[in-house]
Amino acid sequence: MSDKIWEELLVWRLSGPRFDEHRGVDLSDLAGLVGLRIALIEVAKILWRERNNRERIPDGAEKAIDLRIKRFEDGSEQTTVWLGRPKPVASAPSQRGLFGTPVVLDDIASFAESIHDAAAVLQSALSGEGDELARLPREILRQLQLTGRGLRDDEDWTIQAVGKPQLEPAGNDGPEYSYNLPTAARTIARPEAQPFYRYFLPLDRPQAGESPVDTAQPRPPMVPASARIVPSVDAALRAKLETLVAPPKPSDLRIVQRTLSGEVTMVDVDGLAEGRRPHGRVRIRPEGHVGEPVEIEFLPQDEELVTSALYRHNNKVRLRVRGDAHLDERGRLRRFEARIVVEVKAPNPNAMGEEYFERLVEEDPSRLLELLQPGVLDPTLLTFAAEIAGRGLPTSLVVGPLLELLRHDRSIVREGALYGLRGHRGLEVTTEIRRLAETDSSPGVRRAAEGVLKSR
Amino acid sequence: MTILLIRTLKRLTAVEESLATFATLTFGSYKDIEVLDLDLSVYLVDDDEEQVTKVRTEHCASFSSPPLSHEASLTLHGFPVEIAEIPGATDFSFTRQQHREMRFIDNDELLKVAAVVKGEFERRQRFTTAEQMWEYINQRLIADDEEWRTLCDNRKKKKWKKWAATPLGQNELPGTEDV
Repeated sequence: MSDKIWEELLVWRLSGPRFDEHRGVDLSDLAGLVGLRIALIEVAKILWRERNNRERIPDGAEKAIDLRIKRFEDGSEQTTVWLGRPKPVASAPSQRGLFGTPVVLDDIASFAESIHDAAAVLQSALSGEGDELARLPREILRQLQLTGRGLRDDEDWTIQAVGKPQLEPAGNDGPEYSYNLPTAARTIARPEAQPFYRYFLPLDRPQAGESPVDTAQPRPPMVPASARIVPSVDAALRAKLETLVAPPKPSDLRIVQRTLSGEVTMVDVDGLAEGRRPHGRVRIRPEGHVGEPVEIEFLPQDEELVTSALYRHNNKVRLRVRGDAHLDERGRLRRFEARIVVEVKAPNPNAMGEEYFERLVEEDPSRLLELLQPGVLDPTLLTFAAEIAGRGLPTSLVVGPLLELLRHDRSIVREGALYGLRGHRGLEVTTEIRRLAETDSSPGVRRAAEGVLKSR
Repeated sequence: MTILLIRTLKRLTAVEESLATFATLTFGSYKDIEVLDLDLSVYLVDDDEEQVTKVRTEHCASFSSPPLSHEASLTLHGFPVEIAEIPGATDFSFTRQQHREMRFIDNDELLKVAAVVKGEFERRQRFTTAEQMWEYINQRLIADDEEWRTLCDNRKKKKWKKWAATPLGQNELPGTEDV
């Protein structure tokens, strides 16, 4: 274990009459730790993906991390779970890239950070504050349920997150736990502690008028380790977990129409051949939603669309689906039956739009001025390029080309040039805008020009 | 009272174009003009000038510079389209709460709505003048509105503080100082 740094992650404790005698822990009780490990890793993956804006956990990051218990404390039924991560040793060749910069360690270190946060998330969710527990993905709840599987009604388990080690010099509050790292590791940016809800928004946010729940209201941020309640996962909480995990009765489900799109992460069409299922399933990670992917059941007629899209795009494919979302009484998505499946066009790397022109204002104003020249851009783009250039570039550079565009034969371009000129003074500019307001053949241009004149 | 689904209207002249160009100019995505935005960002408001001004001003203050003339909006109400309640990203709780997404399955479905909107273009427009926005902000600042106070104190939004404090028509225009 000398190749690893070991950090305290959390304290796991069993309590109840059976443990009061302090004669050790039954082997069957230890099985629960497996569920706890899976739950920690899965929550950490969600946190890591969102913070790093990446779809997949890098190869080896999970394997590089060890979660271990070393011993039970004498005379008690509690143990510390330790997190082991590779030492960021400069001489280790496997941990260095082509130019000697650590390439894997940053990912491993940030994943280890996410595991520390995952421990805090689980502790917070189990403490029963708000609706955090119900927001966790069902598979994670199932693992938490397994964590207390062998316990009797008068027994409970608790976890207490120790808190993240500090990778940077401690602030005023002082470190909760610290150790020395080489400089390379200290440069890793620590993600800000994010509110819990940021990561676990339910997919099935209520539609207008469907629920009084106000998802727009800010929720409290993640509570510091020292102030967190240590949850007691007693029989009542275990029963609650069971309810959350149990499949709801069909009669309890509410069906609403939903439309969403996202990248495909799994496809299963075996059911068709084996006759086990009426149709295939596809799992997608919906855009704008973080957390667990959504499993979509699609109809047989869509199999060709799904499989050929995957084949053509080497498995990286985005779909847009509309169908019946089956929601339980808490508004959680339990089933999604797609009625329409459409392939979403792959993003064009050479795409042009307002974002591109905004970027040119900052990075390459000359290029933006070139784009304003006749015949370079399509009018639907030129209109926005003209407005954005006028808004962001100095009068001396941009007014000339914009005045030219006021005489463009397409009204959409003249309107864009007008908006570009509204921030620039000068007799010639005002005269030209007035000319358009009074004599332009397009009613839209005349109205836009009148609006610009009013504010001058 | 009629409910509106307010969306920024980028070009008044769009209506003079073909349906495809109208849709591109009105619903084309920010990143790629060729791609229609199938999750249209809108705000759910009552059909009165006060609410439209509030939404328009809060949206503008959150995402852009102070207005130099009018700000035009288009309302997309009245279609049997899925409307998802997605919290907005503005600096104001009202517009965060009132934010919605109209969800279309594909371009064809969006184009059907675009065709109706184009046909009813005049009555679906809502204008907010720079004067209305300036007056609204100053009214909020006089009332010591915490959200507006915070925005104006934000160093990244200093243009807004200056704009609100200067009588209309006397603001320094961007670019002018470089002549």
